[in-house]
Amino acid sequence: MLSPSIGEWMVSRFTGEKRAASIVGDLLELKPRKGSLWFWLSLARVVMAVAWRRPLAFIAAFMFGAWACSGLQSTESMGINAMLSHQFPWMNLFWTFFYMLWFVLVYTAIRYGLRDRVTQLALALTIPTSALIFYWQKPAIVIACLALGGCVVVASILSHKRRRAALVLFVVAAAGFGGGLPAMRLADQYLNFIVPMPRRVEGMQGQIQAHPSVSWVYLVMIFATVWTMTAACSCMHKWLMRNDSLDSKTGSKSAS
Amino acid sequence: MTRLASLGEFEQVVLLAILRLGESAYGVTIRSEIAACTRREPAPGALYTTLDRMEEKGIVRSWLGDATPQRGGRAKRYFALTREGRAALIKSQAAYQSLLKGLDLLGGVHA
Repeated sequence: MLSPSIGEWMVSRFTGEKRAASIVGDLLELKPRKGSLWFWLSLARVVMAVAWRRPLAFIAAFMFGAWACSGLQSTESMGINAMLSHQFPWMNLFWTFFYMLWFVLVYTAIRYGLRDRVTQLALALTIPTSALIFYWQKPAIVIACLALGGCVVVASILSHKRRRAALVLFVVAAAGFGGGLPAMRLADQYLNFIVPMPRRVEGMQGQIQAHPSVSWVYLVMIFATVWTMTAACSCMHKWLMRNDSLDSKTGSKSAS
Repeated sequence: MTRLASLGEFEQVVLLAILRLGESAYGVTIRSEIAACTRREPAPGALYTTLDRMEEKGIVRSWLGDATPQRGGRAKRYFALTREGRAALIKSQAAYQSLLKGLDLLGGVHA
């Protein structure tokens, strides 16, 4: 016979511990009248209701990561010359930050909604950054975007709640770099292993791309990076942004 | 002046049930009050996510109450409307009332 504590543990994975306890308590109160099957089915429905956003947000972020990675291979299609990235290596950092912003926007918009401060901050930074990339040849737009981006950063530093959202974004970006760079390094090592010749040799790139395992390696690399970033986002959001007032209350109406 | 939150149909049903129950509004009683008044039993997942969402929006507030042996020693979570929640509910209900004005739905020509 399964213990209700297992159900409580499952619910608490997606909501606060005291909230989970009160939900399971409610269901336990009705269990003698409605039966064990009803209890477990109701618990499963509660878990589904509180948890569906997380896998959906992860899948959307993962799909976006795969799309962004393929976009990075052909930067010309995004309106900026790939040569620019070769001439100025720091541009790659900017590109990575740009993709991370979009990634966080997709993930937080689905998981926490548009009212969430992290989503709003990501949106506020994504708009000028995207405009900067698409209209980088127009100085007036570049200056306006930089000014707008600067204002968003200053505003997020000045406000206490937005500062927390900025910290979440910062940690997710750090986790993205921290998870993405080793993943890229490992993928590179693997490519050297399957085709142990310098990449600049003519036709070598095509030979690498033709290998059946390469797309899987890229997929695993993106998966690992996305997982690192979503885990960081969930932990930081839970720690800094969630209203856990209930879980800190001691149990009287006056405390509320 | 703060902007009032707009309420969905189920949110209004839950808020009215909390109002009717007064001090004894927690998961089980809210659910049975809704079932008794609307003859529709709400899904437990829908009820708890709605309550959580409304708490995040500042429409309701909650506090932990007593634990009973039949709940396995788990505390009840009571709910009450906040001032903003009450104002939002009044606004939504006023909109319904003005739509109903001139219609005699309960036994009239539009029944």
